[in-house]
Amino acid sequence: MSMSIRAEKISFFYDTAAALQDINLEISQGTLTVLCGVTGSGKSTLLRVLAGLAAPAAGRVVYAAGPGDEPNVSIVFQQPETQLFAGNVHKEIEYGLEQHGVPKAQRAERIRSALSKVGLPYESFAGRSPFLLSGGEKRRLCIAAAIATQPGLLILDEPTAGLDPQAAQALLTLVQELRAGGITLIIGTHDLDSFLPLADQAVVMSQGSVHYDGPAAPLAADHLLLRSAGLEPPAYSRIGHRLRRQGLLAEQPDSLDALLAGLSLQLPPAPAEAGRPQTPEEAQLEAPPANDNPEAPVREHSQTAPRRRFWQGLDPRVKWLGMVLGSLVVLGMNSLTPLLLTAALVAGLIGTAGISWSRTARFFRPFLLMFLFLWLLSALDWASPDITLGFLGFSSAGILRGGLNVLRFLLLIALGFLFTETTTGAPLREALEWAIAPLKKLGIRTRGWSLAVSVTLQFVPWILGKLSQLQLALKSRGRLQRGPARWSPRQISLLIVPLLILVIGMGDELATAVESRGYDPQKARTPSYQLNWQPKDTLALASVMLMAALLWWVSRIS
Amino acid sequence: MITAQNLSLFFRDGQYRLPVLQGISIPIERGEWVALTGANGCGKSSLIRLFNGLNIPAGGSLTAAGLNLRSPENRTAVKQHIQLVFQNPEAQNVGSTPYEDVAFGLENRGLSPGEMEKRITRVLQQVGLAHKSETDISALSGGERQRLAVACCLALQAEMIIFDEATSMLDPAGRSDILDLARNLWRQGTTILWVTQRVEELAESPRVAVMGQGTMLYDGDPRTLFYSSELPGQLGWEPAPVISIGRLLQAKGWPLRLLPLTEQELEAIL
Repeated sequence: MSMSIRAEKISFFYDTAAALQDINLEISQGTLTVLCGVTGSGKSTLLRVLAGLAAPAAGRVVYAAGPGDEPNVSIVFQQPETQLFAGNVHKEIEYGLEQHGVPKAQRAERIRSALSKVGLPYESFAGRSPFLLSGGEKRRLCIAAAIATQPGLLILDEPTAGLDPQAAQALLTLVQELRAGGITLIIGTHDLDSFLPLADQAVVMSQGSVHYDGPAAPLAADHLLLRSAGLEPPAYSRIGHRLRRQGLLAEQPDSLDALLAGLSLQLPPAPAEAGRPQTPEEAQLEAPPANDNPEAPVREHSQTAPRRRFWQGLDPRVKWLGMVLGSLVVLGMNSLTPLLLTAALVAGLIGTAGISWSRTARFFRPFLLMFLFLWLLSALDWASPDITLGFLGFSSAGILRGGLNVLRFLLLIALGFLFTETTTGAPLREALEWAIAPLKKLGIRTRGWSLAVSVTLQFVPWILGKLSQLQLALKSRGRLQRGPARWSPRQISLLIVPLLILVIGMGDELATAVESRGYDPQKARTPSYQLNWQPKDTLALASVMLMAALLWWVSRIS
Repeated sequence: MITAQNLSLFFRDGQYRLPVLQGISIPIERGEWVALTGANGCGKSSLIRLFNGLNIPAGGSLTAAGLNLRSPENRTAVKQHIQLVFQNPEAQNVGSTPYEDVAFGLENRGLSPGEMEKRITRVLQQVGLAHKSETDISALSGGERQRLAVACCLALQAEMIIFDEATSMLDPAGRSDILDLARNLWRQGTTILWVTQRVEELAESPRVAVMGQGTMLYDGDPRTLFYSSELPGQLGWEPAPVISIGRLLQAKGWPLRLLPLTEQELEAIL
């Protein structure tokens, strides 16, 4: 059942920065809308809000399907091929159907029909691993999974990006077929050449606001408007504009076909012996000079910079020692008082290091939910519960024990966070290499190890970012769930394989990059960062020892 | 710069040997700009990894920057002359700031700290990242990260830079930014191998090489490829608008050498 969508006065914020401001849109049933805008214009955020995956801070999205129908929206994200979960193609699609409550008996037929719509025959694809398909096939599988639930609205974010020309062409054909099938489509894209000619409606986003909303053809012809939003007009329109000025074309074309049709009547015959065209070299030499300063405005954290600089100026060996000693002391704590004391101390240190609140929150959020779940799990007690909630029973001893464990883990993570936030890669590596240098005598390759550790620590935030992308992708497959349900064992087990594939792929690419830069663990190296112990480091070392001793003492006596 | 003759490469899967490259020959002169294309999985990336010693050829002869890459020492040495910019902007930075990242490659060269600092400052300036030398890398945009990767190649004073679909994950602004940077380096004498999936970038290159299933299908000038070869149709390329118009002109009897490849050429001839 196709549906229409109305966005009313939508606003959305990241931290305090407005990503969307007062968006009003009306999208009719069965149409294809192209949504475009440069990176950071709010395009992807708007697609998520329209898909119901992100709740707007103000305003609302109204879906109008047939009477009594629940709104059913599907979204396929950018590079969906990194967001596959299941062991085979059949199960990949079945997951969404199951989440939508489709009875088992109907699922096979739905999967077969969705696969046939995207051009992947059930017989040859159903049993195959989604991870081993080609790039174009993976993308079509993701679309099949999205349409199998028979959504009224299908949202595609950058569907052709990164595909080779043949796969991109096949995808365009698929989009046209879907549209002919009557589904409402919204497509976020940079590829105006391909999509504007197919679109009924076009929306241009610029700096979080709607810059244009109307039919596609006039937009393609309005080069001034497109360029003011940072976009390049489609080639057929650019060329058409020039040819009209040269008197070779009667009207502005709305597609490449229209351009060719208009031009074929008026093309001049071959010149007898005209001047030769420019060679590519000449054309390139005359190309407009590169923009010397294409920088977006830089966001400066000016008030936090000096404080952070103090922390970064400390010798990395002190910080290493602080982290290791702190972790050992925390591991030895068995009661609440010293743990709470340490928590206060670490919170204070994070504050003085000038790490922004939003960055800290983003880092800890995934851990908090996971630990909350573990805490509840360790507090469960069926035999002699002290507290009962429905059929669940909890023991107070279990609550305390679980709470202490969780707090201990959180503190260990917080120490690591503080360390990596205040120490960039090079000092971190030099200090580690210095500390483990004696192991070289045992034949251990200390250079390799210190590089591996420093690179791994740098990529922890990247892994957390990928994890939340995968969660969003999984969430988009099912009925919308919020809160701790995202951390159920089933969800976590689904996330592990794609996350491992991403991490291993990343490790492989990084190793290639490292090798390509001429890294050779056998050869001598001249560090760009020189370790340099100063009086303030001695002072910091003394404070670290004192604090550790104090906390250790507190944990003994309490 | 590169002399490659009859190159072959295999992947071993248990006892099977799967051919990745078969009988590839491609000479590249110093100072050339060559565009290389082919469907995903056709062996492009495997080929260019041979050129800077990351892969080892199974058969054929390969000389790059005057070094015979059959010897292991030369495969290390060639990295001084030929550098790669990879596709994924997120997976090629080793340092946590641009400064550290450029330094990583130089540390392996035994330069003095003073010389290192001078070079790092200069190349960051050259790619327009001097003001961000101490910024956390995760705060850079994809285009900025790719510019940083180019800076790393420049710091190593590479004579040839291979861009392996280096713009495919960027938005249009980032894409033209990197393309402009590469063209500037080319004008200053750097040899460029530009791997791409974009048909219009092929048309704008002086020389185009097309691969398919581990073999070289075409290597020559773009005008012949687009106007008198069956290949673009066989590969399912949707012709770029300029080429479509050129084909109309061709049908009216225009000679090959006058047919346009770029919008500038089209404007000049009409």
